[in-house]
Amino acid sequence: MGDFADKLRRRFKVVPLASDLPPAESPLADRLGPSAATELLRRRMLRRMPAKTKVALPLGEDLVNARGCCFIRRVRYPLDAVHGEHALRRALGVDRQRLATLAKDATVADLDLSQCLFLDTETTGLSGGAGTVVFMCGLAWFEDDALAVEQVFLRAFEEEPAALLHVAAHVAARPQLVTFVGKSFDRHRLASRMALHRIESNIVRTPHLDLYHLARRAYKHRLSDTRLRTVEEAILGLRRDDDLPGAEAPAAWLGWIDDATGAVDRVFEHNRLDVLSLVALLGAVTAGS
Amino acid sequence: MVAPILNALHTHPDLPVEIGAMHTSAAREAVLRPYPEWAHAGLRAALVGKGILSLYSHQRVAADALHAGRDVVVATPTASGKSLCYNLPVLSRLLAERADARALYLFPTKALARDQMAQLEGLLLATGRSDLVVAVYDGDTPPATRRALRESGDLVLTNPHMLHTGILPNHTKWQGLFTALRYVVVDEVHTLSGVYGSHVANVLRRLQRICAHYGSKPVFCAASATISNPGEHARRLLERDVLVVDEDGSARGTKHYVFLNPKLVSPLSGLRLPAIEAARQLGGTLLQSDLQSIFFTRTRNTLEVLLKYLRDEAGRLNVSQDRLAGYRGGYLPELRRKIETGLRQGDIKTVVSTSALELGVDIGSLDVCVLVGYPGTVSSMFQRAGRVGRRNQESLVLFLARSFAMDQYLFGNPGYLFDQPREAVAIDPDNPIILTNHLKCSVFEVPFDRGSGFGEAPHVDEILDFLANDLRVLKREKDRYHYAAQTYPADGISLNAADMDNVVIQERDTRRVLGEVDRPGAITEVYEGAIYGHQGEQYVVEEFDYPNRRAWVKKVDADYYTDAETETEVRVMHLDAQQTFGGYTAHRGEVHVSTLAKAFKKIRFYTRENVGIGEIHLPPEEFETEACMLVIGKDLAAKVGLDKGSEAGALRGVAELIQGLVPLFVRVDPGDVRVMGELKNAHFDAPTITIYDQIPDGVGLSERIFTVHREVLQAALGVLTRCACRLGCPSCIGPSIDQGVLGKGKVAVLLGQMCQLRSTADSSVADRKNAVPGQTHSS
Repeated sequence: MGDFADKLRRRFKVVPLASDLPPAESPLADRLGPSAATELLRRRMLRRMPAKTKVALPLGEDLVNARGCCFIRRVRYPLDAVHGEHALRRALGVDRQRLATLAKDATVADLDLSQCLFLDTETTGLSGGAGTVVFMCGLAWFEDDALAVEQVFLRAFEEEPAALLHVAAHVAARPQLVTFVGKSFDRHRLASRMALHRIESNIVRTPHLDLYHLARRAYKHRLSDTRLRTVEEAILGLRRDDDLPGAEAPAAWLGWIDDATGAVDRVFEHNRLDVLSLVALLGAVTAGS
Repeated sequence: MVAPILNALHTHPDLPVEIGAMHTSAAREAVLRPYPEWAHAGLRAALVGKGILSLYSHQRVAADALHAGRDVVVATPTASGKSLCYNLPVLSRLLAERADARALYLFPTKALARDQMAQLEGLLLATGRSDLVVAVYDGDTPPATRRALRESGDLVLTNPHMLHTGILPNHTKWQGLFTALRYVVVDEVHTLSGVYGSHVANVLRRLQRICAHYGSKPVFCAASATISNPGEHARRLLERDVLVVDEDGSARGTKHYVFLNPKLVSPLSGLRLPAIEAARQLGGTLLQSDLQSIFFTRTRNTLEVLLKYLRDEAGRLNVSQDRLAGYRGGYLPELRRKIETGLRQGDIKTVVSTSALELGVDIGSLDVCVLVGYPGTVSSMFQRAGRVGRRNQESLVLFLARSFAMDQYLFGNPGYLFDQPREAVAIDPDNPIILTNHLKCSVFEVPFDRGSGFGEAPHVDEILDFLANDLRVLKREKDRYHYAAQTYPADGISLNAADMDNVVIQERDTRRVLGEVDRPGAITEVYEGAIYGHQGEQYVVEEFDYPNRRAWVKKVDADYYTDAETETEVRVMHLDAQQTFGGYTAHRGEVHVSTLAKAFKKIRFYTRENVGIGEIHLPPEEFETEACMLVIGKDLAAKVGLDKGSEAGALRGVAELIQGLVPLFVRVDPGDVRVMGELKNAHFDAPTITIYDQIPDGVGLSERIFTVHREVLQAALGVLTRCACRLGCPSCIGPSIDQGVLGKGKVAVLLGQMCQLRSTADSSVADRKNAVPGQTHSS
């Protein structure tokens, strides 16, 4: 790196590594620009804390397809498995008429619940835009008296096309999405990255049951809000101990691809619970309020 | 038509002005060409139906080139039909190919985009085709329309800010547009100058990168007012080999320029009638005629005061108030549209405007233009003058000098305006800060391959490594860089100060929104107690809810207006490097600039008596930025007489000279850098010339000036010694009445000494901890 890089470091107020600590008489924080430099300083401070151990991925395997390779974790749950206080099986027996009323969509009455694709993503940011990457996508569906769960994960940016192709194939095979806030968030993030990598998918136009809207109609009178955590506790009887807050997932992944220290193991767990909650909530939402 | 007014000026004994020079630009016949063969038949019929039977020569040349796939810059005067140059080829193509060809138009303001859309809609309606979707996409577009527009917009009109924060970062929602993009039009490129223009050039690099991603290769058309370097500017902005079309083929009527000075009130003291009072009396004469006239003022405040005067005048003369309107940026869009229509249809006879009507908003051609004061640049003056003059009809431009030195100089030396080349427009797309910020945005938009380049920008791979290794917002995998941060980068990068939050002005009783003002301007316009003028009526600001950006006003019948006084303080925070010369020391560092509105005066209309004062309690507008300071040593100060404390003018003269020369060295607008001369700087306790970036955080302009300041001083001395004036003029240190009779001589001595004295051997580094090696060296 030549003079030009030095110039950039100076202009963006990147402190030379040798003198990491700001001079005492001119507190650096006061002079630093608002965004980049402060963020950098924060990261430096974090890095100076005791070295974190490397985080290993949960058990899983390579997924290989026409667009490359990515990581996938597969789990199967018997229908009697309990999430919170309810068996997953309950989702197969919901009152579809009532579901259609709640969804304000008559076509929902004809839904084949065994063909639904439950979907929940983890992304690098909440503000959207083409550069927001879906680094994990949890998928679940009923199959052979079991609930199949897959978590597709990027171990590096280059694994994204393979992961997206896999998700697109699932959406094509089970064109009935069930999500929580997915109509306004998850499907658009996936569609955006698929467009970037030129992967064909009809995900935005695929029939889509967004449980957030159903939960709002069903519970807004009895709950203070209808966020997933609130609904899980009050309706599903699920308490998450030591759950990684969703808002911390981006930093965990960005840290993990940087030096393998970000807590992506906890993101896997968080996402797994989110996906199971979709199934359990579908089973519970028609049970009356 | 204008002859009676011209005669009245010469013969009417009561008119409040002295007449100075006159200048006439001769009428010219139009150079006409037939429509090209390739023009879409329906479109051509529609144009003929609107009375456009043939094209001007420049329209035909530009349209042919664009149709053939050549990038073009059109640089012809106001009202020469620039938009047809691009509309003809673009619409022909869109009409012929329908969904396979789309276009993107960029205008500097929302108002211009809406104006252009109305024209395009009218044209398409006349072709009988209703299947093309033409729409404006900006901050005012309702969310419901946005999605439809993203998917099916054939011709999208927007502005650079929206392209930067809304469209490019979400390009995957605009696949249809980017895949089929055939034409990109960038209008009013002369406004894309300095730091702002450098930003936009990088937004266009991002646009071209996204087009490449989707496999489209649009043809670019830039349109500009008359500037001295349209080809060079468009080439730097678009990084394409553009064809320059600047031979204006449109017809021009005779245009008379008359220079006026308000009458002397007191010959002994040289006191003249205020220009605004002279404008009022001229306005009375114009209001009674059938001519359409436009008054240009320098500030919003002057506009509202003059408008009130003209309303009073109209009342006295029994002229309908509907014939009169004000026009400025802070008015709401609907009101502006109404006024534009009124002007086009001739219902409004007189309009008072700020620079807002300088750009190409279609208001038809008027008859008389009154410039209340010099607008600051030659280009700007001719843009304003271009608002009058119908084909084959005489028009009149009255230059009304204010008491300021520059205006008085021009009254005495009108040749300055007509002989001088128009200003050149300069940008620096490769400014390291600006480039780095946009490269970050570009990686967010599409992952970046090492070696793939970013327009003609240098150091691209180095910057990518810097973003990955130092700022750590990118992640490099093999030779590809990915965006690896949680932020939305465009949000943190403002193209210009106008993107900042506005203050809404709202009537308390009716809850009616009157208009808005940008936040930096708010501290001098809507402080509590301020009189806010709106269409010539007065409102008093009862409450300025600063945190919520809302000023609550009440209509009043005040006989005064208010004027705020501000103080700008530049405080040295930190010095990074210094270089000592025999007579002075140059420093580079950071400064804190704060502008505080402290008090305001209540000034009675007409008499201009001071009828009260008030305090302003608002936080200062402040920012930190970079600066270069030249501190004059004791000996040199004594030699020139600066130590006596009475020669502030000479130092201001040097500052003025440097201010004018800065664009030669750092490709910016003169306004991007501020130069100030202080006889006694608080930090250095010595006479000091401070040059700072007039932009929060700075973009490296002063740093560059620190490096080349010897050349700047040499150039300044060169200009001074070559300038033929005796005592100082706007071409060098400013008019002599600012500098004192000895001003020019003193400035010459000061500059001469500074240029001669080489640096001393023991040049030192004041602050070693923060100094950057290699930056501090003897020359």
